[in-house]
Amino acid sequence: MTHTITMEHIAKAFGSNRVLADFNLHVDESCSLVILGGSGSGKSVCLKCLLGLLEPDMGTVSINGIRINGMSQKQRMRQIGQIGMLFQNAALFDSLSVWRNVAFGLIEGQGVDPNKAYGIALEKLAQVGLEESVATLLPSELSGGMRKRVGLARAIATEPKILFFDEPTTGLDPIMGQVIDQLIVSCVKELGATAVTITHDMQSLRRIADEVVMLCHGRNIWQGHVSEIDTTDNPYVRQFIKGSDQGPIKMPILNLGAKEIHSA
Amino acid sequence: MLPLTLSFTLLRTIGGNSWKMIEDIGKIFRFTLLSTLAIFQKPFYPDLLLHQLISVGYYSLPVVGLTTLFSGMVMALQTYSGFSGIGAESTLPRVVSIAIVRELAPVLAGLMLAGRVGAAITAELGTMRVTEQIDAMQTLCISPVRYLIVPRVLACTLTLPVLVGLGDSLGIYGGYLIAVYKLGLNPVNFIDHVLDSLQWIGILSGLCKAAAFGFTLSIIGCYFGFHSRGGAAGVGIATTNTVVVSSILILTLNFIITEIFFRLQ
Ligand SMILES: Nc1ncnc2c1ncn2[C@@H]1O[C@H](COP(=O)(O)OP(=O)(O)OP(=O)(O)O)[C@@H](O)[C@H]1O
Ligand SMILES: [Mg+2]
Repeated sequence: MTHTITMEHIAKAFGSNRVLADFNLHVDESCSLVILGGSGSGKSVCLKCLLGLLEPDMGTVSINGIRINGMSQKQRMRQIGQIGMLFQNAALFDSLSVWRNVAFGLIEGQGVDPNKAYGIALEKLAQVGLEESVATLLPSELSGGMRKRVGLARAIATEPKILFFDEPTTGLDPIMGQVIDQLIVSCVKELGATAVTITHDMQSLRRIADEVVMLCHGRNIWQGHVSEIDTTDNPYVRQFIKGSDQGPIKMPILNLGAKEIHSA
Repeated sequence: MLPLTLSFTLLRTIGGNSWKMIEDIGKIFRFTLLSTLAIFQKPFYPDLLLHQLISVGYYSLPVVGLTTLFSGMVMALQTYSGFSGIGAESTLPRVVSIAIVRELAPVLAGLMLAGRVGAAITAELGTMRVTEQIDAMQTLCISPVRYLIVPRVLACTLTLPVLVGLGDSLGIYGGYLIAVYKLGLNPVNFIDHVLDSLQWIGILSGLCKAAAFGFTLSIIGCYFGFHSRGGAAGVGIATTNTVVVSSILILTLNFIITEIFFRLQ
């Protein structure tokens, strides 16, 4: 069977910084996949390669069986259509009001009538827990968590079949985090969308994931069903899930504080 | 040994920089071509064009108006002190009108807009680039070239000739003010001589220059904005590049267009 999303032997380097090296990924249709990995391990880069915003140095990226790397932007747009993407920093259009941001793909991309799009935008904003009064504000007038939620509303506004979320619950309180998780789950379950999410939040992972991928040293070192994460004997995954500093993942941190305490 | 390695390093630096410059020129050409083609492709965003027309055209009126008005006044004073012996009555109006219409109004307006509009375009698009707003636009299937670049390029290309047309009249009016009220020339003669010296080809060359400058400064502004990277500092560098490169290009183009019209005459 064909997968909705495939990445094969992807390599990507920035100068001498090799971020991805022989990275492989398969995502089935209507599956919610979560990518785990340390900060700076290349998760966001991986999503940008999937979107065609970064061109991998090697390897192939296919969406719906169509190879998209090497394609021009225009061809890619025509073949793949809209992809819902929540950027890590939300990337809202800062000259447009909140509802215009949410309705952007509808009005400018699909030619939906602005009045109708306004209604849809309000509905999506309500789904991410934002009130109507927020709709006319500018992104600069929002808090970090509110921006993230507007970004999420924009990503799902056109109900695309493929959704990428870069840390959707980072910066949100636990209650709002759960609301957002439920929204992601319902997008996958009810709309039949395929979702790839990056998260550092283990609670959220358990709520939204079907499949889990662990990215380390530029590779996909473990992929499995979410139920397997507690039983796997992969030392990387075990360490990551436990959040312990004992294990194969080394953090390059100088333990200055401890030394100072000892010498005092 | 040392001089040898030094000269190698020097050669490599020069070679590398020249190569980069050639590469940049190629990229700018490609960018210009793609953006120009995009002008004729759908979808077209009329409301964005209108918005740009107002922000480029209307808000540049004071800058261009003041620049040309004072240039006309200065031209009148300078010509008078230079030509007072040999019939200022007839030379002054001619020199002022020819200088303003053919050279000063288009070049000064172009340079002022490179600073006012070109820099603003780069800063705006550059910020959108480094905060991933342009990437976000692409994922929503909206072409940033058509949505962001086309309205700006069209607005600058269309408004600069209009601004220069107004600048022409203001510049000549500046000359008139000085000639009549300060130097005591006959106002009727002044107007007669101005009308006499204005040829359609002179006016046309000024307006062609204006359109070419508007196109150039907006394309360069968009190019550097679109390709900026590295946060606020990167956007700052891109903005500087826009002003420098478009000013140089405007002065170069000015010579080329003058030369073409010189042959036509
Ligand atoms: N545009 C870029 N230019 C140069 N280097 C980059 C660029 N984007 C990312 N990198 C580098 O790629 C590496 C991975 O970055 P990435 O943003 O994918 O990390 P991440 O896994 O998403 O981390 P986090 O969880 O903190 O968001 C980093 O070392 C970063 O320095
Ligand atoms: Mg990231």
